[in-house]
Amino acid sequence: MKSRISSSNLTAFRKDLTRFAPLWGLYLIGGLLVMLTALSSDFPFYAAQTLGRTIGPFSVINLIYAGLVAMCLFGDLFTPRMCNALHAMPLRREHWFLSHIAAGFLYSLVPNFIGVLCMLPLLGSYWYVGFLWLLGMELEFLFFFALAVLCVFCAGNRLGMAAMYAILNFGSLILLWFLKTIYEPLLFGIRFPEEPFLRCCPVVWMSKKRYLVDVTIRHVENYGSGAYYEPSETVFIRYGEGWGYVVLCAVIGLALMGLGLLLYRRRKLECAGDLIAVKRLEPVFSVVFTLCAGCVFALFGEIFGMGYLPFLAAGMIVGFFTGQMLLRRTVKVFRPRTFGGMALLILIVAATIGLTAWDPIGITTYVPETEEVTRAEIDLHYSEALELTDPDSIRQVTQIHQKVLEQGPNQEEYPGTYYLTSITIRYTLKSGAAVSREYAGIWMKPDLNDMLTELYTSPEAVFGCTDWDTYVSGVKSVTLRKESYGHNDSPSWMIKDYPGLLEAVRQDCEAGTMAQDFRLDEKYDGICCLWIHQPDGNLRTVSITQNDVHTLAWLRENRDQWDPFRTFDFSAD
Amino acid sequence: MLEMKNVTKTFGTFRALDNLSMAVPRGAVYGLVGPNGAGKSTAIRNLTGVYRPDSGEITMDGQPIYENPALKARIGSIPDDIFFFPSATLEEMRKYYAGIYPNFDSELFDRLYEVFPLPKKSPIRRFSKGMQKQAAFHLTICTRPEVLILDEPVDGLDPVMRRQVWNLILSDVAQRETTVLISSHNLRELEDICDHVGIMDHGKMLLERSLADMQGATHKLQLVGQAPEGLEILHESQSGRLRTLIVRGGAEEITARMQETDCPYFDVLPLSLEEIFIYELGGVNYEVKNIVL
Repeated sequence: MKSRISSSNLTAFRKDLTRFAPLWGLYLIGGLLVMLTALSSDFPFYAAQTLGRTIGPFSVINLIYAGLVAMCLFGDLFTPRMCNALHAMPLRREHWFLSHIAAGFLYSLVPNFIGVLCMLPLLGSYWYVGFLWLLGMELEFLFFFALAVLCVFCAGNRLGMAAMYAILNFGSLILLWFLKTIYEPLLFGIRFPEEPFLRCCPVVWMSKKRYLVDVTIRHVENYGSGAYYEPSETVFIRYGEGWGYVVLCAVIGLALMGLGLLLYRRRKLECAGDLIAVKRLEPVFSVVFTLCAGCVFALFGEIFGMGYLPFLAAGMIVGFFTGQMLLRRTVKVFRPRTFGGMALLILIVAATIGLTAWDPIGITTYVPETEEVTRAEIDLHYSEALELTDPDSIRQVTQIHQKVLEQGPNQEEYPGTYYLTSITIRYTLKSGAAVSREYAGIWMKPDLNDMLTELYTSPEAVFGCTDWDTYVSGVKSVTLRKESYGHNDSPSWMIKDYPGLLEAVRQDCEAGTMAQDFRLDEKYDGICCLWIHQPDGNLRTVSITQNDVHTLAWLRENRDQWDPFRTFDFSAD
Repeated sequence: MLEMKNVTKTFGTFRALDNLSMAVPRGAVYGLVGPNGAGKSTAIRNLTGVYRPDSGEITMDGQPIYENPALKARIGSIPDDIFFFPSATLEEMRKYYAGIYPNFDSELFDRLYEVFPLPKKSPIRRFSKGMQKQAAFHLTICTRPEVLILDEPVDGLDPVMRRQVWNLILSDVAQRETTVLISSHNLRELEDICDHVGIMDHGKMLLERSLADMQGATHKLQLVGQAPEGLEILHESQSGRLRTLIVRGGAEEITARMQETDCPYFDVLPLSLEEIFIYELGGVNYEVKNIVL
């Protein structure tokens, strides 16, 4: 005999499917319109390629849709009338939960599956890409839906659920923004790494990843008609790196669902209508809401150039009391105890700001000892970054670092033609640790300019080598091109006696004129550039200017070797 | 039997139910009365398994009701604030109830269209308040519950429909020994229906007994002259020479005591439920106050 409990579940499940049919109907129609339009004009191969590329960006759609689905299906928990009526019926909470969850999955699976079926004719022999797309979409949806369900059980109304959903999805970005807005300006040279925060924002990380990539095609050679032709049927589609992350997210989603069920079992239904359903989360909400409001106000202060600290404080005050009003559902929150809580929070934030500015442990002024460093990288931006392993070069980098710290963050404008630049310095220490500093808005004062020029004109900086003789003996060829920036179609001359030329270039390095950055040489007028086929197989370009007298002298003296027809013009470009 | 033992339920710092105990015998029509904010609706929500009590037990035939689908299938409830799915018609709700409640009687549902002549295909949200109440009755009665819990059941119904609903309830009680718990402020109607009464105030049960016992335990004594010593007087008023006393005690006992006096005139009268309610709560500072505007 059929179980009455399972029959009740089916009734609830059927109701869940039909109750919000317009929602998944809209999703189906919208999805079909977009996808079929995007794929209809492409050959099957390119249709498959386009489809594969949508898995990442569609994480945004899954984020929004999953949130809406959870809000609709579990919305009975937010309305006291509906909540009480449904929970008076003879169904356990687990049955309601499973019914809503199953319906939620079908809200995504059915429309996407129908979409895949409609796309099959367009995909042709690449039909399997459609099902891979379906798998990717469902894994994404699983994670976002589970997260939204968790938010449902932490919140008591739709506003709370939406706010919590937004905070959990973008909380890492909000935190990064808070750190960058409030603390980073106080830390000269320190930049909070963005990648760890981006990794904790699934929608951003999923959208950056590739899921179906590296398609190898064999073109059918057919130049006769000149028309665009279909690639070979033999296509290899390799899985991209995105699957690992999305599967991990899906597994986390399953865990979140289990947590959601636990919260549902313990939920007090009388919280329907409250902002937060779990009392212990109220202080967390209060703090997060206060900090977010402070950030928004601080941003306005920065935009209007009025400084961010006063606006941060004002925003935190407004945010704190607004949060209390939302929690208590009354405007009467201006009580002594509430003021005490607000003051404590502001005090804590002020203390962290003060400590950061004071920097008692000297994070901002730390420069490693030369002996501790195995590799130093320096990047002036707008030019190639230098990677240096020679101890002398590393010492020069640390000295430059010290000079930048001496100049400090607050620099008055320096008269003259010195440039404003950004300097990034990265050390790899013997312990394996990495130290990175990025200084923006640094004026190239004479002493700093001289130090950078000395570094950038060294053979290691110009050629990337520490052993000159070994380097020269390994060079395979040197070509001279007229365009100082080495364009492929510029005229070129092969230098047969390149060891002699390279020796002349080395002399110019010692003379301090070979820095490959226009900001370090006021008289930068490019004449030509050398394309050096290096021992490591890479191609290095070295620009030659009027200041490089040894190089130019060698070229003139040996012109018969490399330019017998005197076609090269020694004037600047 | 439906039973609550030492049930406490708090909402934040507010104690809605304070060690509440009540027992509804099988087959009884139990009237749960009390002033506004006494905790009647909270008690009902605990009885229907919606709320989980902070402490105490809520049982039906000795088994806990909370998260017990087998018991909940035998309980039908109509809250004061009725819910239907948005845009659902009566027939759609019928299908839903039929799927959820194992004992749903579709034949009875069709027959009850004669009692509740409601449109079948119009959305229920378009019904008037009274029609929605009728729809709630229509659906709930057909689940064939053993226990019927009603919160303000006839509020919004016209007099004819009120009579229909009461007849339906009593008929169900007579035929199937349905246990009925009714919460209502209309004590005059309850008096005609109920055989047991419980009076609540501030989350506690002040008085709980059969209506006959309750009415037999308190009487109105009208007399001319002085009342004898030793009578427990709940309330006293005077109009000219006629004094009216509300006295705790049986009619025979009071009569016997009065006959011992030389009171020229006295009469012992029964109290209505409404009067019992007023005078019992007057003892807990919820009496009718004379307000001068």
